[in-house]
This record gives sequence, structure tokens and C-alpha cells, in this order.
Amino acid sequence: MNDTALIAPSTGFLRRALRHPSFLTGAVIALAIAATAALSLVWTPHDYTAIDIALKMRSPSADHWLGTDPFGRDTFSMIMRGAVTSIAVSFVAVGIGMAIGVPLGLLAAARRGGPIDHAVMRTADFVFAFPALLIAIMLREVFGPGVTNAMIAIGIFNVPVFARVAYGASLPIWQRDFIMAARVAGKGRALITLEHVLPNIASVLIVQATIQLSLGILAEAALSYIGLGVQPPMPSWGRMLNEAQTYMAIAPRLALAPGLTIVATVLGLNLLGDGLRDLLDPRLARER
Amino acid sequence: MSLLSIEDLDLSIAGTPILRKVSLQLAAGEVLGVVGESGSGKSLTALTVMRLLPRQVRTAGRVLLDGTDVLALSEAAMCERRGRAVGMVFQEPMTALNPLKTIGAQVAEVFSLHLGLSRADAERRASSVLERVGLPPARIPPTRYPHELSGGQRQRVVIAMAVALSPRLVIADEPTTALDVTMQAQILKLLRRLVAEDGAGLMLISHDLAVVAAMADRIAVMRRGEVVETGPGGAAAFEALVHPYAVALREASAHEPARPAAPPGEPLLTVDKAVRDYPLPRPHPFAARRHNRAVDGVSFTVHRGESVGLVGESGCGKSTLARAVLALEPLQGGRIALAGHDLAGLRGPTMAAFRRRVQMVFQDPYGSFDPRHRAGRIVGEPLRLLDEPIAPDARGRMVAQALVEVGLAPGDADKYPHEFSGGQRQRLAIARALITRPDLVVLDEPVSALDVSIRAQILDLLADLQTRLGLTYLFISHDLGVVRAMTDRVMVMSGGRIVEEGDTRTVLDHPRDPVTRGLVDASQHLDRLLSQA
Repeated sequence: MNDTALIAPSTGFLRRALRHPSFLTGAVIALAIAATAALSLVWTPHDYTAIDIALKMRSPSADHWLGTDPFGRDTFSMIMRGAVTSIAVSFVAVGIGMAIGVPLGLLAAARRGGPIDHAVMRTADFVFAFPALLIAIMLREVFGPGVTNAMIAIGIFNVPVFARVAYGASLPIWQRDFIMAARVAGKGRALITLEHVLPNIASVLIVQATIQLSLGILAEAALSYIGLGVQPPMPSWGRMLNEAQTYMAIAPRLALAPGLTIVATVLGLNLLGDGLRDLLDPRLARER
Repeated sequence: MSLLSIEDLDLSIAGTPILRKVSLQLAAGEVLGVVGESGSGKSLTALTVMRLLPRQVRTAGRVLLDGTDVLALSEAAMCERRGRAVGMVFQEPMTALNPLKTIGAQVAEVFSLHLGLSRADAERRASSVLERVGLPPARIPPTRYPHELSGGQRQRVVIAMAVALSPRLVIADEPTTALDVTMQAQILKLLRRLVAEDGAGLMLISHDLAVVAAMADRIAVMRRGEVVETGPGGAAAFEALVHPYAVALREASAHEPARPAAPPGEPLLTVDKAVRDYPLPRPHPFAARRHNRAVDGVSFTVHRGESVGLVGESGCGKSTLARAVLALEPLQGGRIALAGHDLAGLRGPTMAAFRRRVQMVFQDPYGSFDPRHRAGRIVGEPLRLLDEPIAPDARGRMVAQALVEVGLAPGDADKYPHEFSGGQRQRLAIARALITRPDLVVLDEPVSALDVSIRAQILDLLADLQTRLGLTYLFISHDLGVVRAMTDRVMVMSGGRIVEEGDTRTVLDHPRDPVTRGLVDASQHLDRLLSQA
């Protein structure tokens, strides 16, 4: 992220952040998920791959906090480890989307009305016409199933999203008087984009990034659900939902555990995004 | 009994008191002018009568409309009254109208909503109201959309909606501030005629003393949430006001800064048959490109040390011409040269040298600052045009000096634009324009967004800086009073051409071209108004 956007409101940033309820709630949830994922790399209550048929379909107990699945695997351990997959896939996908989409959108806006603008934005429209699912299926046909392809597929889906958001948010900025003032001060298109346009659309991009992060988690779950994402025995929230499907009538908790985790994560990321948008704007930085 | 009686109105927003003991009376058939600077509480007083206040607002006191306290009414009873008993005219007609509905439908809505008329009846009534406000259906069909009308026509539609049901009280909040001077006079006349015909009361809110004095039977001067003085309107208004603030306001609006006459030097800016075309959207992809000629063969010369005014109604091409002079947009014909160097050939270092010598001050200072940058960075920005990069401490010193020059403190460099007042922001904009010690400064309506008392200070500052630094000004404005006070020569623009030019006083006192005459007639310059008494 551009440093002006982050340095500018530094006066009392932490103090204001601690008083912002949605930022605080979102940050706590996001940190908790991230910490759980990190912890699962070194420790889980049980081995998340260990199959023990004798222990199958246990209800929650002191030993198995969220019970076990039909193969006797510990659900809580699988959710912990599944967080790694979800976070990795959605963050990498958002990273791909922003790294390619934002510069393209900014370029099109800086050259608005010209051939570059049309070329970039019409290409974005074209890519946008392919759902992530279709891209994932195409990638699997070429490279075989796997978590990397899921990341790339969701990432490609994110590119036109960020290109459009960056483009749409930049256009009104380019009409503002301070852009003309910057031109009178001798700045070219590239410098204006970097110093004036990008910081002023940063809040929009941050909010969009949190939305795409939560959509990425959902997309990863969807791809894993149909078997295009992470492969067994590595757990993911989507694959857990998939496997719980046949047991919905007898053990709904198997679907509820990953399902509610996804809901909480998405909610937390959205709250975090809303809070960040407010906190990064110096005009809102006055004491409440 | 008076039509509207505001008694000891107190108003606070989230615990902060905004209005204190405001008391105003308005009789039927009377025009009450409420004048004050931004933040004086005049608009909030009007919104209280309409009960269109934000949620966190607490009020005390009474607002009697025809004997009923509107502050005690239920929201449903208030909805019934809005439009029917009280009509409101807003400042910005474009945003007060729904862009997706035809003007006829918007006026008809008032009838169907309040009187339950059928669609055909409502539309018939709407046509007659539009006719009444000077939009005859034969010429301006009610099927037009707001964007198809001019600013003055849009304001007529807003007025039509306000007076449709012949309300007892009409509130007009800065009804002409967004309009050209020529439009301004017509709209004010229309408002006065309508309330006279209906025998209604008019509460006219404005920051412009001249407008209020010309229109009102009585004047109330507001400051910081209090009514500091009330007096009679008309030409005698200004003599009658005695409160120190009212006197200061009066003097500020008639203010002319001291400008010692300097002999003009050699030609600095020469514009020769400049043409600027804008491409119009093509009707279909294979149609030939059509163009709109915004600047049509304009020629003039500005000499060093001179102050030249450029006046005209909005859309006459003066801002386009200014952008061309600043080399922000290319010409399609003719040439512009600064001290003999053609702007068309500027690249890289020669462009930087040009930008150093020509700077600009914008109309809306707030909009011309990046809200995420601190004042120091904003003011120091043009320093990148210097040939040698400068060290951070030297840069800091130059910024501090520039701030002091325009009457700000060096410590202000650490503040954000929103932490300054309107006048301070314009000082900041002037500091930015002057930091590279330019020869020519283009001033685009530099004081029209400012309050009267601040305007006088900024004009003084501009005049003082011109004398001290030997600056040349190209002063763009629609306010002839300001142009008269600030410029030696004036050019009148209309339809992309310069229709008249010459010595400022000669042109404004003895206008020859009909366009100039229209501008002069319409501008309610305080001197002229007072001399009519």
C-alpha cells in the first residue's frame, strides 16, 4: 500500500482504532483466525489426518471439542488446519488480483478516453465474463487439480474486479481541481497517479480487498467442495462441508462447524475493511 | 398576527449550541432578508421552520407558523405542511431536482401528493405553474429533464415546486448564489412577483448584502447563531445598520483595496487568434467527429505588472482560455507565447521553466488541495520545478517564508487542509502559487467562494503581493465589483470571443457591447444600489 495513506493519519491512529467498534471486532476475529492457522502449523489437539474408525462420529467431548467425522478424524484440528488453506488461497488470490488489476485500472484512468483505456477495460470485461469456477475447471484440465490452480483461478477472477474498482474510483479523482493544481506544479500522469490518485482511492481498494478476501474464502470452499481445490488428506473448510453433506440429517454439526467458521471469518474481514476505510481517511481523523 | 414568529429559538447539535435565542417575525406579504456569513446559523434557522433537521439536533423555544408551534407537531402533520403551507427554494437547483424525472412530472408530483389529483389534472396544473414561473410549455415542454435546462431555468423549476400550492410562506436559501449575475436579477424579480401575487411571506437567506438589501422589507443580520441586529430593507438598509458586525459587513462588501498605479512593462503574455475545440460524442461509431468551439480566435496581450480582468457568464469560454494559457490543454489554432516563447514547443526543462513562471489560484481552494497531504507539502509542491533539487531544510524554510508572506504561521505547515478556515485555505493556495516567484498568476474566481469580510482581506493580500513582488494578474471573475476593484484593464468574453476590452472603469461605466451592458445592468453593485436612493 502507498505509504502516504498509512503514514498520514498516524496521529493517535492506535487510540482511534481502539475506539472504533467495527474495526476492533473485525481485527480480533481476523487475528484469532490468523493465530489459529499459525498455531496449526506446529500443534493441533489431534493429528488432523489420523483416521481411526473406532472413534467415528463422536459427539463433542473434552477430548474432541467439536467431535469427530465419519473417519474418526478430530473436527477441531481439521478446522484449525483448514484455516491455513483458506487464508493462503484467498490472500494469494487477492494479491494476484491487486498486483495486476490495480495498475491496469490506474493506467486506463490516466489515459481515459484513449485507445489504451478502451483496450484495457474491454479486456477486463472479457475476462470478467468467465466465472472463477470455469477458469478453475479449465486450469484443472490443463494442469490437474490442486491448491495452486485454485489460487490462480480465483486470482484471475480478481484481476478485472480490481481493475474496474481502481478505474471507477480514479475517474472522479482525475476531475478534481487538485489534479489540475498538480499539473500546474509540473507533474506528469505517472507521478499524479502515484502521489494523488492512488492514495485517494486506497480506502476503496482496501474495502474491496476485504470483500475479495471473504469471496476468496467462499470460492476456495466452493472449489474444494466440488473437488477442484486442495486435495485429500489436507483439510479445507470447503472440503469439510463437502464431506459433511451426506451426513446432514444425522450429524448437522459436521456441516455447521466449517460453515459457521466461514461465516465468522467473512464477517470479521468485512468489519475490518469498514473500520480501515474510516481510520485511513484524515478527514474523519478528528476526535469523535 | 404575524405569519411566522420565531421566539427564543435555541438549537444544539450533539450538545454543541448552534443557535442562541433567535427571534424573528415575518408578516404575510413581507420579505424578510436574513444575512450572515457561513456558519452564522441562517440556514439552520430556515431548516428548523421546515423541521428538516438532522437527528441529533435538540431545540428549545417556539416557532409559530400561523399560530401553530411547528416544533410540537408530529412528523405526519409536518409532512402535510411542507409544500402546502411552506415552500422551500434551495441553493443548488441541479441537486435539488431529481435527474431521472421530467420537470413536468416533478411539479405535478406536488399536486398529486398534497391534493390527491389525478395524473392528468396534476399535469395540467403543473403546466400552468411552469408558465407562471416563466417556463411556458410552448417553449420549454414539461417533458424536458433537468439536465436539458440552463441553471436559471432549473431554478425556475425549483421555484415552481415551492410555490405550486401557493404556500403562505416561502423560504429561499441562497436562491441565486449558484447563478450568473444576469440570471440572478431575473430570479430575484420572479420571487418577489410571486410572493406579492400570492400575498405570501418570503424569508430570503443570503450572504450577499446587496441581494438582501434590494429585495427585503426588513433585514436580520445573524452572526454565530445569534440575531445581532434587525433593520429596514431597501436602499436605506446600510445606513440604518449600527451593530459593529453589521457595519464591518457593510464596509467589507464595498471594499476596494489600495492599488498604486504601476506603469505597465513589456508584453509578457501574448495570445494570438487562439482556438480551442472540444470533440463532441459521435452520434454513431462511423459518424465524422464534430467539435464544439469553446475559444474562437481570441487575441490579447498582457503586459508585465498589469492586472487584467476576464469576465463573462459561465460557459463563455473563460476557464477554457485560462487552461490554454497555463498550457494544460493544447490549442487547435493560433498561438500563445510567454515573453516570446511559444507554449506549443515546451518540453521537459523548458516546460518546467514555464510552469515556474506561470501559476494559478483556483476558485475553490479546498478542492484544489489533495485532502491527504499536509499544508507544507501542498505549498512546497511547485518547488519541484526548480532546476536544482533543494535540501529538505531549505525547502522547509521556503515553505515557512511563503506561509508568513500570506499571513499564516510557519507551524501551519503540519496541518491538513480541512483544519483551515475558508479564508486561510485561499491564503494557502496563494502561497503555493507564489512560492516559485512566478511572473504571471492566473486567478480563477479567487474570492467568489469566500464570505464578504474574508473576501476583503484576500483582495487586500492580492493587491499587496502584486505591488511587493511585481506580479502580473490575469483575473477571471463574474463579479464585476471585484473586477472593478482589482484590475486595470478588462476583457469581456461571450461565446468564445472577446466582445469588448479596455480600461476597466471605462468599460464598466460606459459599456458599448450588449453583453457587457447586460452584465453591468444585472450586477447589483453596492455603489449603484446605494446611489439609487
